[in-house]
Amino acid sequence: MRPGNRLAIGMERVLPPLALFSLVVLLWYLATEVIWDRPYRLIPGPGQVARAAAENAGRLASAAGLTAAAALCGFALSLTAGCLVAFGFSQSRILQRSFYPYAVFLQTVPIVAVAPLIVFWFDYGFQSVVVVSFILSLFPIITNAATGLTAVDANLLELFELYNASRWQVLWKLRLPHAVPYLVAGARISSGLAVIGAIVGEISAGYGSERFGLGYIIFQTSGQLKTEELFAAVLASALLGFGIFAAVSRIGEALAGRWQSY
Amino acid sequence: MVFPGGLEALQGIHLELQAGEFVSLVGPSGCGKSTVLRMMAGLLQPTTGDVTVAGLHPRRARREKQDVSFVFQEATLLAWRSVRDNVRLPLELRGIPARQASESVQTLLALVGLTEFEDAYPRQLSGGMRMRASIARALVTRPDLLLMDEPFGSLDEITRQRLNEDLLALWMRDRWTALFVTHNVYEAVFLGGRVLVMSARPGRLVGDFDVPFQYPRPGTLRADPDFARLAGKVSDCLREHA
Repeated sequence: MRPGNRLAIGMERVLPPLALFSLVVLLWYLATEVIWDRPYRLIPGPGQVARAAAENAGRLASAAGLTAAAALCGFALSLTAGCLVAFGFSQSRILQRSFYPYAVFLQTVPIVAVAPLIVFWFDYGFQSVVVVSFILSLFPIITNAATGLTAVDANLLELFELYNASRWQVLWKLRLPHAVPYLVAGARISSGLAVIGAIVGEISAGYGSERFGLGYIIFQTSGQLKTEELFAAVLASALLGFGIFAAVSRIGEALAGRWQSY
Repeated sequence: MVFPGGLEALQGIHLELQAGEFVSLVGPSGCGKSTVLRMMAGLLQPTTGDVTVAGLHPRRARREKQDVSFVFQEATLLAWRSVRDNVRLPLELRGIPARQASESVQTLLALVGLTEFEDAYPRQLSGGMRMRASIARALVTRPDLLLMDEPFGSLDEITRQRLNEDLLALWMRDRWTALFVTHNVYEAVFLGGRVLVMSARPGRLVGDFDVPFQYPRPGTLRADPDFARLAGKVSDCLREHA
């Protein structure tokens, strides 16, 4: 592929969402700063949000850094623990049957309800935020990796049996490689959830006012009705989530590129 | 053969293959053809009766002589491995290092005409080429018995005919014993020195036809009136018991 071509294809992918973004911002601007041009607004205009973001750029950036650190720690824990649990599930039906309902429990329990417990066990601070992020992002890793390890084509298993493959060979040469694309898909979902988890964690089990993440800013500014700053923090969270999701997707594509099935 | 749940798949099957023989097995869909193959491979145990390969239980034969290979309906390749590494798999599972396996792998790739595509991944190949890779993988261990379960069923007619001819050439070269399952009567007659016919479920053997045509068999054999007559007889037998 020629570089010019690639650029053209890149533009084709980037232009439509960019155009939509501009349109939404324009409508938002018209609605809030032209048509409903009153001193008090439920929704701040894009100009005001941009100004608030610029004024608080340093604060937002350091908060985003802390949130990102917590999210990445939670995500890394999920990847590690999720793979181990999935591996256990794939090796023993009984293990899977016994533990699966509790894995579902992790997925369905309202995190706000257990947040006091987490604070009780881990105290306020970074570690509790990481725990919330971990709990929220664990499930997709477990289910996807377990599916990848177990949902192997029956004929392939027969093929390995036919050549007297050991359990170890079936695992190493068939199940694990088969699970890679599943794990990558799970990791993509999980990475986004880890960011959400970090922000929810900061709101429910976060830090004091000396060190704070985006969740704290969102919590604080909403209490004080500083909607411009609140919007700026929400946008920063969205950007952070998007950035981490995009990075994980990229790494996943690079890892699992040749796994595409036929 | 009765499956758990009471489905009787096969009834009183008696069949013997001579070493080096090419036998085709035709029957309607769902008659238990694949079950016969799987029992011969030792992947399934018959409910009653027994199966022996070279005088041994199929599993023992597999463990001690490792001389049975299987070609599935689908190519059943590992999507994340190149054609070369897919063909090498059986040797790898036996602990033969890649370097030592390389000669056998290259020979087989050349025989099935995939040398140029050894670095390609399965998704980059056509259905026919994938099946060639699958056959190369089955033959790389130099098996004495090759069991094939409708391997060309999903290919277009021209590809199927070419692969039939190429398969016979491979067989002529090494003369493994072959049991080829198909529901295509013409394919069965073209390939087999003998054609066995199975009835609908529960599957029984209802016909055993000798195919008198000499090997090597040219593609033009398909237009021979004797070929058509024999295929017609096999078809009649099949229809009678469907």
